[in-house]
Amino acid sequence: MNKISLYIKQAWTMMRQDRLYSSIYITGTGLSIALTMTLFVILYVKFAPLYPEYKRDRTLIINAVSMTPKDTTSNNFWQSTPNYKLVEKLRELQNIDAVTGIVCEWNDEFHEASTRLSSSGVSPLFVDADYWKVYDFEFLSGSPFTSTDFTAKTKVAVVSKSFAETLFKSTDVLENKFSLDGSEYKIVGVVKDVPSSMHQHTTADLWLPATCTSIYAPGENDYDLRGGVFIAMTAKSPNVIDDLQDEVDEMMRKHNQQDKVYNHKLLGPDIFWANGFRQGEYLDEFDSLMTYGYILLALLIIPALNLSGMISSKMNRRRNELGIRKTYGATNRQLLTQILWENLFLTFVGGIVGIILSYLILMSTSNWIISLLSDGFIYSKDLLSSNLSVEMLFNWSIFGGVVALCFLLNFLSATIPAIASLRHSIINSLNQKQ
Amino acid sequence: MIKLSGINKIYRTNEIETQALENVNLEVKTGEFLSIMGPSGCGKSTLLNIIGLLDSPSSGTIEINGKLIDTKMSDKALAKFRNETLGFVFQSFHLIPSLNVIDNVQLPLMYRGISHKESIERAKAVLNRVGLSHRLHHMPSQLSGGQCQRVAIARAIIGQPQIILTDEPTGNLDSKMGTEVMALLHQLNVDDHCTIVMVTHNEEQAKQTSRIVRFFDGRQVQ
Repeated sequence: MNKISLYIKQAWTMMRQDRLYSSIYITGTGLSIALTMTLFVILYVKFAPLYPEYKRDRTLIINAVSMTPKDTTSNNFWQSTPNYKLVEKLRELQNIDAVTGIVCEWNDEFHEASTRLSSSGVSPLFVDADYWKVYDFEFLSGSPFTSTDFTAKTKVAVVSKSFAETLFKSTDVLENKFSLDGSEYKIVGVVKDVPSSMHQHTTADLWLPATCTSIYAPGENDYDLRGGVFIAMTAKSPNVIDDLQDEVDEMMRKHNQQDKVYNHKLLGPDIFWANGFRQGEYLDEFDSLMTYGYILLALLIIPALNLSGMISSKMNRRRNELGIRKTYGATNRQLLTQILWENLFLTFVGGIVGIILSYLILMSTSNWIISLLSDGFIYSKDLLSSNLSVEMLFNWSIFGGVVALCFLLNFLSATIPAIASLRHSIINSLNQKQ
Repeated sequence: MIKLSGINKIYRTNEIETQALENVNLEVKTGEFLSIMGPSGCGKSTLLNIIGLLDSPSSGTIEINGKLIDTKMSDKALAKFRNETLGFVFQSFHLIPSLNVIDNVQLPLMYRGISHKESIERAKAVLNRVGLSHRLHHMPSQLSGGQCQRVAIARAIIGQPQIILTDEPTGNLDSKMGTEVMALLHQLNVDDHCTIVMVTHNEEQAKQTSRIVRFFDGRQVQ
């Protein structure tokens, strides 16, 4: 048993001896860590590479395009989502790996799918063939629909496992047919479910060729880039994102040169994580990140100050012990290390309480959390019951974050009271009543 | 072994200056059992603290084992010297309430870097010597005053220091317990050749030691 084990053994004894102090300390730490953990999980779900959006580090988004007349006497201004013509133009860029257009349904439309066995409200996404290159869906059977299916408006579908189980009571559903809003579709692939907390571009029960929907609009004239799709694209690598953005700017410059009547401006392409902070034309991702930083700081500093006060009072009561230890040869540095270890033990216990609390918070408020995660579009999610996946809640980066947080909280709350307490002379400390 | 020359100790506050010790010159030989006596507030404990390097004199020099002690030495050097050379026994025992008996006793060895296994063995041996081998895992709150003081003595001797400094070791004990503790100290002095400096109010106990020095108002009067 080394010194650290002895420190922890003593911390354990003290925890049992001073139950009020320990329970307040552990609860305070636990709450602080729970709230910070919740924030971590939200940020993790929002930004980390998760199924099926594993390429988030090189994904770019264009959600809108604005159009103004070149005639400066006019004050007209239009802003809309882009159309498939822009998707095709982007596909020609050198640094692009894949680009897809996802038809957006502005109204929260109700779709009903039915088979002979069952029927259910469902959330479809209308996409193109390159969608399957931008996102990494795990196919349990079958394969994605092709560009030929897209062009030919073939009524085929990729469905989620839950969809198959709900409507066919089986996952072995390839080549089976179902009816959606009066049209019949053939299943060509079954994919693993997407948690409903993922991005609106991937959260669905089934994926259909965009050409099959009545709201598909390829673009009315050669120059107008307005339409009804969200664009998601992946750069060839994270290193060429800037080059790709430059390429897009150059492409738009040429487009505006050719169009004699209008100037077009893209709202993007935004890097995936930054796009989450876009509000219309306004995008200041660092400002938004700072807000998260302030919240994190408040979640850490406020409890650290409170805990610091508690530790300070505790250290005052332990001054005699510190005097005894110094008398028998402990240096200030050894005592500081001991105090930090003991405190870390309590913080660690608080951390475990915090993790449990944070999972309770996340489980019981996942719908509310989804509203925090959504970018303004929440589809009807009749089948999407799994809001937060295991992958989101239990992973090493989250636990690593919590451990780092424990260290930080411990360091912030214990160091100053410990140093202040160690500054007392040995005699002064020994004369302190036990 | 211990040589104090021209020791003065002055406590200063903003307005008041108090001379606790005035030009104290004292020599304690190896193996001696010295008693320091005097009325309350005469500076006995201050002197003991200075010998034990727990406090520093305002002026004067301290020599221990022929080594001139610079009280401005680093915290680490002073701590090492205290740990290896000195043992302390206090009137109020000063046991750590959150540690059990054996952990309290092995405390000095922990700061000497001795392995836990050896520390435990040595702690058991000294606790056996003070008659507490059956109380190894008791907490201080579960012991009587006499037992606490015996634990404190075990802690003081576990590191085999050459000098034991003790401040009214029987002050908080009844006479029977006090006699037991004194017998233990004498045994250490005789068997282990420990040099002992003891502050006491008890004339009877002082008379049993090799020499008595008396203090009054910070000055050595005898």
